Amino acid sequence: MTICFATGILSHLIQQPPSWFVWGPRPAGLYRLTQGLHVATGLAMIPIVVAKLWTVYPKLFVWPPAQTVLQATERLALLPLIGGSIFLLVSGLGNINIWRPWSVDFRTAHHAVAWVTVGSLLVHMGAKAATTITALRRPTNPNQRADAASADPTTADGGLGRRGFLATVAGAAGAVTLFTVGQTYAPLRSIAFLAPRRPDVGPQGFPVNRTARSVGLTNVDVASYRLEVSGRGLNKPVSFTLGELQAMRQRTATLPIACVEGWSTEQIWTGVPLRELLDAAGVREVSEVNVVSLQRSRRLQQSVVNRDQVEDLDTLLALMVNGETLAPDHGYPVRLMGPNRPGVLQTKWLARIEVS
Amino acid sequence: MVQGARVLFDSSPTTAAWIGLVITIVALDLLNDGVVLPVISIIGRSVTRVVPSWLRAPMQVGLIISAPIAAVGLLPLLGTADVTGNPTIQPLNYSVTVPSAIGLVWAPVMVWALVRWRRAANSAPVGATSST
Repeated sequence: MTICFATGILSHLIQQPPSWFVWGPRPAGLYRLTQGLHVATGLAMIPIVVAKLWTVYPKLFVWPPAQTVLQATERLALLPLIGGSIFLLVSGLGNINIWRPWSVDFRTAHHAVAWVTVGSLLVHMGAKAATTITALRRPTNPNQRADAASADPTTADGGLGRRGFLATVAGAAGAVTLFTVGQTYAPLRSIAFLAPRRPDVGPQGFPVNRTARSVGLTNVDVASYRLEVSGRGLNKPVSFTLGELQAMRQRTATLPIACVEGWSTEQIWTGVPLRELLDAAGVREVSEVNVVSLQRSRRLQQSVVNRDQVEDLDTLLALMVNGETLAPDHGYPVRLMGPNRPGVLQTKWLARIEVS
Repeated sequence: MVQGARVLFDSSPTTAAWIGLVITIVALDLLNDGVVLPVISIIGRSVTRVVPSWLRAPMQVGLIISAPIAAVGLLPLLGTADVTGNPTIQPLNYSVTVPSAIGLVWAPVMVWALVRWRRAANSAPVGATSST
């Protein structure tokens, strides 16, 4: 749960960075690792959370439910803890399967409820701290120690004992992971029976989240296409045709696309380093740049590239992938591809670059 | 918890969205306590009462592991992404892959059950039934 929470907060910080947060371009595959862990641990939590709720279920029927104000507060705090945990699991599972039946934006709700749930968990742990410490200090019964050391996970009536139950729940978490993690961990790709993505399925051999048709960009007019550079250091915008971009020095880099939904894939990208394009446009000093897409969707229309990412020569204005011209679904004629960036920030169908 | 409320407030959701989120969380609580856990309890009790002792633990293991597999596989099986027109989302034949994953769990479980049945049969006194 700690890994899931931490990697989730990290992903949020990368996508909506506060002024104090800087996310660099290296290691190139770090976000791929952290977001893969986020989704994998989230899915693995499903059997663990259900098992935990099942073991404490009898306490729901204890009467009276509380005998002091403190006990009542503790029990009320369970409402956001349980409801929040279930919401996070259901909304996360739904999001990776493009199932979003609620009206609140998924990213906002998932982020907010994560904080509420963790806060509720801390309240719960604090309320149980005294009980936990007392139990840990209690001397162990030698007979109990002998039973615990027994290798048999079953009880006298043939059912699972406590150790067997815990081992089975761990096995369930392992099984869910085994059948899903192949959407980011290539060696297990062939048994990713439950994964909503196969990282080797799609145009030019890998997936897309947003198709060209869904944003009305299946036929970009190359003859009239211009990539415009404007902003700091420029008296007026500078434009580049696709032919001019193709004539510039090309650089090839092997970079991952790591989606916030947990799937990832590595491809070979070729294009003009962003830094060199800015040089060609006459831009020297850069604090950050804003890359803007031709698509009209407000949330995915633009992304920010910070100074460190601009200066990394593997931050490309990609024209080709795996030796082929970009397919429309992958952002033809030009897309941004940079190391260690979430897929949602690898903006497609670039229209202009705004320097600040 | 305050941070969570602040995140939600800063996003300026509509009142209806606020209410919808709270209702969703409460509804999930009630669904868990009123439906999911009782169903699990009923299934658990049924396994204990109906199933012979040599089969109980394997049955419990099989159900505990395959239930979350079925839960994770449900949305792809239902094809929730079909509305997007994007064939790279949920690209597999989940009516085959989800049962296959469950089958891979139950195969070793049944082997274990068979071993336990043989042990129960071999250890039973002559003339006694081996199903108790």
